[in-house]
Amino acid sequence: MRDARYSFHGGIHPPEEKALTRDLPITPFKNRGEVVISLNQGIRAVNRPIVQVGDQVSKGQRLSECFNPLTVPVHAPCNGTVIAIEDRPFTHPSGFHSPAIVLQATGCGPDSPEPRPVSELLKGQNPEEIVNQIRMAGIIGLGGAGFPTAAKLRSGTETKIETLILNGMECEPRITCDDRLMRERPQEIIRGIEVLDHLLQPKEILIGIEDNKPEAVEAMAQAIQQSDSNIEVIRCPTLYPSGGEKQLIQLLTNREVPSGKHAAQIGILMQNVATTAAIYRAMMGQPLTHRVVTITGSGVDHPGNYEAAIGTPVHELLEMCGCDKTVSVTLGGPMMGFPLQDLNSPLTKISNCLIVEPQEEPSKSTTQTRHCIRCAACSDVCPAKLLPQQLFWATQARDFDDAEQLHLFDCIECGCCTHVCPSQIPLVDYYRHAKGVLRNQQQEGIKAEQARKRHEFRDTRLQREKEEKARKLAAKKAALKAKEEAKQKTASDTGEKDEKKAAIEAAVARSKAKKAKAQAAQPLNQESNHDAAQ
Amino acid sequence: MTPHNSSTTSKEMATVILAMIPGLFALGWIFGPGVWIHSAIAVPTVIIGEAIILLMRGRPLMQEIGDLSAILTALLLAASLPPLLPWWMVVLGTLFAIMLAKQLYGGLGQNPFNPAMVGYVILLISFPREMTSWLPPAGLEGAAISWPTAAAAIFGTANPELIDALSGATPLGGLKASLIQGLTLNESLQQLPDGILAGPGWELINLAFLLGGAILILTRTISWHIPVSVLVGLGGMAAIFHAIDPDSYATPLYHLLSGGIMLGAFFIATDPVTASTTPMGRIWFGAGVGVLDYIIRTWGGYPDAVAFSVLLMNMFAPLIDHFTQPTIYGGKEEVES
Repeated sequence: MRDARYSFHGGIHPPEEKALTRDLPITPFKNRGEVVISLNQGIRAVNRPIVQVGDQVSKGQRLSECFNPLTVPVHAPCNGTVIAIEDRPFTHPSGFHSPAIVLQATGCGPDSPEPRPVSELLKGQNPEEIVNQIRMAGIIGLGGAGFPTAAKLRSGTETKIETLILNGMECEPRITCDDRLMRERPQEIIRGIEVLDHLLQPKEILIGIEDNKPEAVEAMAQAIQQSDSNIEVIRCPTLYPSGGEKQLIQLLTNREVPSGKHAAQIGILMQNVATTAAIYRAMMGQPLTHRVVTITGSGVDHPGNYEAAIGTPVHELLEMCGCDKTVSVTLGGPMMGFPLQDLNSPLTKISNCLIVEPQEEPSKSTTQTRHCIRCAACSDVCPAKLLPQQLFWATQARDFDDAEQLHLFDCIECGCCTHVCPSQIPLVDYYRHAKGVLRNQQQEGIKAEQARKRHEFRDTRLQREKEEKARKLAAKKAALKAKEEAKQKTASDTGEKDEKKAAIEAAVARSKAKKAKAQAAQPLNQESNHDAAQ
Repeated sequence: MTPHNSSTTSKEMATVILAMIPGLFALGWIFGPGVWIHSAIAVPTVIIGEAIILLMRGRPLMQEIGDLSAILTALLLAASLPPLLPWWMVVLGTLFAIMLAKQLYGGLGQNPFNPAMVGYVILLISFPREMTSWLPPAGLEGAAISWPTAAAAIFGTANPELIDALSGATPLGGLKASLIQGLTLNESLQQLPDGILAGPGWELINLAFLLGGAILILTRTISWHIPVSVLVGLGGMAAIFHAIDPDSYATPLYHLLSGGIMLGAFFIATDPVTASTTPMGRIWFGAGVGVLDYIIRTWGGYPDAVAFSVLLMNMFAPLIDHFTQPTIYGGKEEVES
């Protein structure tokens, strides 16, 4: 174990407030009610269900299929009956509804499997099979971004990975689920690392943990001693957002991921510790159906770290934690989380924390947004080294192109700028909005381009068909004419030679027509393929 | 839904106001209570002036006055004025500062020019004689001008001849006049009352504002970039010219402890609204203020020029910001190691 040698720009020290749950062990949560497994797992494409209403499903059974390489399937977290496949409230800032498979659970909690050595699990499997197994176990990044792990690993196997970094920073205030996991199940994380080591063959493996989690540092440092992989635990100073991928890379390696590129392109791959533990379980044939979620705040009587089924409605968790008043719930950490609109929304794979506070009177809100005084406190703390106040002026003036020039898309939305703003301006909200507008514009541009292309295809196709018809008609006429002439000639008894000639001519005309038809059909096929691709 | 920390605009402004206390105290000790009377006139004036425009603009009154930025403007102006300036000029300058230079542009954060300095320059151009008449520094030797005398002078009840007899040029102004007459630096300084480092009294005032500035930097209310580069800009120019011709140009230390430079460097040039905001931009901005101040002090028509330098650099702030954007994370090409 050693300390981090490098640092990143900016960062803040928000109140940590982890004391409420950091010493409470992971508690299994037993589902008895509905489990709402959203087919929308955070990435644009939606899964297709492969079960029907009324089906009996068993624990770990795959419930959906997916075709987009950036999606993963979902699984039944417990035995039960499919009681509905319909739109349900989704865990999203806007509170929109999304298709989901609803199970009636019969009461079963998470498993704790017998440990098995990784070498035995991986025996006889090639890397492609391992990556596929990880994908089919439904694993995505559990740290918050939710990027499919298999896709990340695949890009990692294509380029040479020199450094594998395990993210155990958990830099957001109040969240303690990764902390507990590192303290209670270090072996599972280490075995997951061994799987990744086998896949990627990196030169070095680093585990970054913030120094406000000394027990986790200790537990991981002990666990790596029993591993054959060359793993190093690195204690990092507590400074938000040190757990951001780019920040942690800079902290541990002093390298920067070039703007617009992925870490894998500079030979670095990062995984969250919980994801790594899930990879180990996937190798044992156990898909991702449960996760640890921190439930904290003064709105619940029993805060804690609960291992709950993905799909558990939030209100059920709150009831179990002894919450009987009107509360407002924030999903995710206080810095990057968002207020949950509908407490019927289910827990998703990326839900790491629920902050439950008694609902305040709206009139009591003390924060009043004032004018920006350009004090630049925001640029002093920005870990991406942006100029948040200039971005703010640009987005406020709806000059989104200017905002893009100011590197809007390099913003990691960590919220440091909002936190320090003396004028209490919700800066990150402005940037999210601007990003949304620009993405929409981009999408619309692409759609318009596609529509234009389709239109052009249609025009040329119609033109070709017209020409084709005319040619066919001409060929038919010629053939008819030739036949008639031949008939006349036979009638006038001119011999076999001419008849033969006429027959040959007719055959040539037929084959010409056939060729022309084939030519016309080919672009037609292309076009229909193109349509299908839409 | 990111929470905000407890820092607010009002708190920052209050810190700046508190950090001005040593300087205001030194001014009052050396030049008599005129500066305190001016502050007492300027603060209510600024509140009334801002309230009038806020009412006309239909803006929330308490929130905007409560940010304390207007009061800071009033105090900065009061600290810049000669101690016996008539009350109505103070009112005029304050109203110009708050109404014209700040609120007409849209209030806090929207004004391109430092309001206090706009007020100061309007007075300086309109009333050049009154605005360059300072008192001989007292305090060090004995009693400064008394409260009744100061009040009588400010409110126009005193004999004008008395005021003329009391007031004179600042050391910087006197030095400049002597140098123009062809005297050497040493001869010029001998004609003026002695100070330890620079002009008598002024060095103490500048040190007091330096102390306040240090508090601002230590409490992280301002960053070091602007004040340090102002001082380096002015001191560097002075060092160069003093090295070339020590007979005609004053020493860097003399310049750094004369006139309003410390007040300007720590309290005026650092106004975030009108200064550059990028780290490199702040350095260019500050250096520009320092260099311009030296140029106008030495070759211009005024003995001191913090106000003009700040306003001139205010014009350049957006341009400087545009050309000094920092390299973002991942912005530089990765060097293969």
